Amino acid sequence: MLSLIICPAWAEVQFSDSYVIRPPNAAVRSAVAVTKISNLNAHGVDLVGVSSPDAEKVEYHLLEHKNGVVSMTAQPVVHIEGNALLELHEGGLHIMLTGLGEAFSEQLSTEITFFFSDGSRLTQTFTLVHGAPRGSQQIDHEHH
Amino acid sequence: MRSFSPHRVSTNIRRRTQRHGLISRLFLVTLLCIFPLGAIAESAAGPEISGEFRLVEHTGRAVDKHSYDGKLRLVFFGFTDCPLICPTTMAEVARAMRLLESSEKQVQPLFITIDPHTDTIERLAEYVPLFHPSITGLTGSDDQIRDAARGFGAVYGKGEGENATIFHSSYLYLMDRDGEFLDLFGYGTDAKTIAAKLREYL
Repeated sequence: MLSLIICPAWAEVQFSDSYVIRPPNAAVRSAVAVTKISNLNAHGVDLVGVSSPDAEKVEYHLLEHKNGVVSMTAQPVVHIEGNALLELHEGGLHIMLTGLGEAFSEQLSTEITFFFSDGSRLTQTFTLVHGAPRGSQQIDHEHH
Repeated sequence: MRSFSPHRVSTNIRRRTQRHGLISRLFLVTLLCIFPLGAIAESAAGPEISGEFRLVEHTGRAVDKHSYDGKLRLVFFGFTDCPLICPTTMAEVARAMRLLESSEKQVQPLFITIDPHTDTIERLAEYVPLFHPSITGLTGSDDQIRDAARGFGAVYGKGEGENATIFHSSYLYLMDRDGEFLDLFGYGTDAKTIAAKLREYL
């Protein structure tokens, strides 16, 4: 008899380059987290939630910036195709943390838990780092 | 009152908008109208930038366009819960002010909230000084905020529903000592570039 082994979705999902852009001061109560998610499963997986003990609310957000207007839309589900890499970054799909405490900007890291559609979850450590405006990188490129 | 035209746009914006294929009145008119169904869009009335506003400072003082006469102004529309665009821009403004050293007294940065219900005088008083002591936060009624946005050709709004889109202009406006439009910076313009442009008018 063959035994059926059911693996949770996170078992073949790997995170890398995970960090939170450190808020510039204690008055800023929101932050952006980015990471690269490799889905090594043959099938796609769905992320249906995200949380952090340091934030009142954490969501996936899609940021678009065009013609001098920035827009942000919450994404209730993030799908990652099988055998694919999804990069969350500040200029597009990313993790938004809101309702942060005043001391958050001084922290070294935070824990972020990812919830999969099969009910499993995976917690990752995100380091807080100083960030530069993404646009400034584009401007530097224009001067080359 | 100056109108928004290609010749008034800084090099960074010119290059970016040329790449996008346009910088014209049509561009701003397009911004006025095109947003998702159900969006509660607050739009500018047109491409003319008058710089007019009647708002309240985070100190409680009622102000208008001429309250800062004699000083150059850097004006940005945002909200304190914004996680990236707004604090990043304010941080660059703060760095630019520090680069000006004693000349910073000739410049007045203004942070105009697009979310007056959350960004009360008290909230702004917590937020803006931590970037730089000279930055002033401005709030007001919904009508006052809408009128101020019109005065700068800025757009902002929020759709309906749980996953509603929030949007707002990301430009940093440079106004002269009478509050008239001089130039604008796109998001991501660094402090050195902002300070260099300010020095041209000091």
